[in-house]
Amino acid sequence: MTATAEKILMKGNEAIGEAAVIAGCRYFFGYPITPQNEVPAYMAMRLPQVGGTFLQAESELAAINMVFGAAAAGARAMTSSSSPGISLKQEGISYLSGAELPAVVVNMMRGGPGLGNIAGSQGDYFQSTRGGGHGDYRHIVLAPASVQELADLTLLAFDLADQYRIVVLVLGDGYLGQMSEPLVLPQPSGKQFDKSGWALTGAKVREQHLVYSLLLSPEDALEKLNLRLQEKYRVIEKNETRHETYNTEDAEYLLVGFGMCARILRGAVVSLARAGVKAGLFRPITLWPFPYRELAAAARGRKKILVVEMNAGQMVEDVRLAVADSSPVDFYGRMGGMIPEVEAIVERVRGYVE
Amino acid sequence: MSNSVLTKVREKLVYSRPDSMYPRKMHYCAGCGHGVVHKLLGELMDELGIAEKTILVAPVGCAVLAFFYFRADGCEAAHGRVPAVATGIKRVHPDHVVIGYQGDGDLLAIGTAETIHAANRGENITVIFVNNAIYGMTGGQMAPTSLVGQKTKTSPYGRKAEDVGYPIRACELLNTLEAPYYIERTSVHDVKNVLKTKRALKKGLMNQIEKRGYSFIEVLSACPTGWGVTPKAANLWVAENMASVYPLGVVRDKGAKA
Amino acid sequence: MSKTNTKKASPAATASKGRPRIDPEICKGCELCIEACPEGCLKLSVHSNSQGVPYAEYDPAVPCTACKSCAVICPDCAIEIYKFESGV
Repeated sequence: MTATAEKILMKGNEAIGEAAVIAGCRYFFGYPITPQNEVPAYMAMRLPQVGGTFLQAESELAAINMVFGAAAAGARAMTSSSSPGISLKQEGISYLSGAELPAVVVNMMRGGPGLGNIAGSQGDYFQSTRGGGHGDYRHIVLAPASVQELADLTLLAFDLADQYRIVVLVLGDGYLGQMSEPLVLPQPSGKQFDKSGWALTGAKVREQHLVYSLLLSPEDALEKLNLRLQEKYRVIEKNETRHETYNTEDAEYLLVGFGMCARILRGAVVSLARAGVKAGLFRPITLWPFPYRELAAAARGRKKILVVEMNAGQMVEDVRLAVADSSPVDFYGRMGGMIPEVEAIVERVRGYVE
Repeated sequence: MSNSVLTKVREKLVYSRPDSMYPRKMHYCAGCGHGVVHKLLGELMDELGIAEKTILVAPVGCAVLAFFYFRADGCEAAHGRVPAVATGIKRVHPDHVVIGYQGDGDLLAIGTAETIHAANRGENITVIFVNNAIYGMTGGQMAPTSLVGQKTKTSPYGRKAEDVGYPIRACELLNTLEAPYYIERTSVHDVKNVLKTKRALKKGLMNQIEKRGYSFIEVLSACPTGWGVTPKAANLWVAENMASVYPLGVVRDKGAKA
Repeated sequence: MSKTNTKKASPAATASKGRPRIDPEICKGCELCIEACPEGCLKLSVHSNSQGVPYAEYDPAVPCTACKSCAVICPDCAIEIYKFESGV
């Protein structure tokens, strides 16, 4: 008898919190900013119930540094914010990367630049995938497209962070965070990660452990660290790319989108099919490592690729890198928190057919 | 070389580098107060037997390498973020001794918010604030604690209060907060005050061990290189100029017997 | 410019009660110990360490009371203090 997993209705932001608790996260440091406020609010309520620590920091910048401390001490720690707050955390993320500390950061993106608005957006793609902080570092970026994935990818984020001692960014948007959808709460993976070799737990009967990223001597000490980091990034690029395709078998056109946009494109694919136009969807789930190989394969032989984003065109650059000149790549986007509509996308694709 | 040739004189070592400190030459300039504070910290780690459960959070500044000198775990916080990193560590390891070690730029310029809020939360950590009225590591720029009229690389005509404000008194600032348990300002410009500093540091560490809450010890310290004077003149400057702007003594001690 | 020693050894102290041992390689020549010594036992050496720094040196002719002031003020843990035990 297979136990029918119990479906519950949950708000996206809260699903993130519950998944983090399931993953064993017991330390959360946050700061109020719309549209991610339910994450800290949920953690403030939930963590004390499981013997965890919730702290509202004096700023997003202080929060990411509290995560740095908790992570250095060997704990699973998380912070969440929305675009402007994530900008404040970039220095901390660079420090976490330089010190090779595992941490989970959640960005429920909002309209930008500047104070912007509180609507959902995808305007932080460059910052997320190219690094908003200083120095050569990368961090994993997971792009959920549903409340179920917000939970599943948050859980996954903690394992990837510990496995590779890296920052993992869960990159959602304001709409996803505010939506409520049925989901099945994921089960913990049960994976164990031994941190006893580096975590700050007190130098008892062992040499001191140090967590730092200032490397002055010998002269090439910092380069050696960077070479080691790059090696790690290559391994991640090889092993950790994730994507999804929909209706691409004999599609003449390939629509590419991530997160919220991918759901809209799925609707466009259905509408186009009704209008006798064969289109398919390619959805990257990891934005770094970006699924270049998989997208190149999926794009081969298509008449045209249309990338749709809630920004001025950012992921489209990675799509062009993947597709190169095998097919022409077009872009359609809305900015400032506006949502691309299925009809507009259908009309754009039908324009290719005439 | 024993003193008396005739009788065999036995001698006992009564003072040396603390065991909790690695036998490494410190990188600080000649006469720098950081070295004295480090030595006192090392002595207290010995006396309290806490090195193995101490986690030292170093700032960005001259003391950025502080953790290399102690047989204790350590980490480096981004500039100004020591209290936040220390908070994260302390929340994970409530029974460890978490020490935040900072200079004036770290604690009172970029890190002002973290300083005030860790104190306001009454975080059960010990913050050691070495105030040398200048940015040392970067070559002698004006700090929030630079005195009015003090010449530095970025106040070449002397600090003008009407332009860039006055020296900030951290102890008095934090004394307006409810939570802090113990706040004292000492100095290391002469032997008497070095010993007072050690007593204050010890109290700050004991408070943490006994889980009494936030302790803050500000230590006035010479920066011969940054001030462009000899170590001796620098200590004199601390005594004659800094100590009047930054009065020494206990600002608050909730543990003091009435 | 070595510091001229103006402090006279007090007549009563016929013999030293101990001695400082200064590690010339650790010493940075800051002279704070020289300043702090109540007996005037210390002065800058005419020699320099491998860093080219003239280091502080104990002059055994001036009795040391093992008061540890030099070691306490030293910013570099460069000074050890030995106390003589009054052997029978």
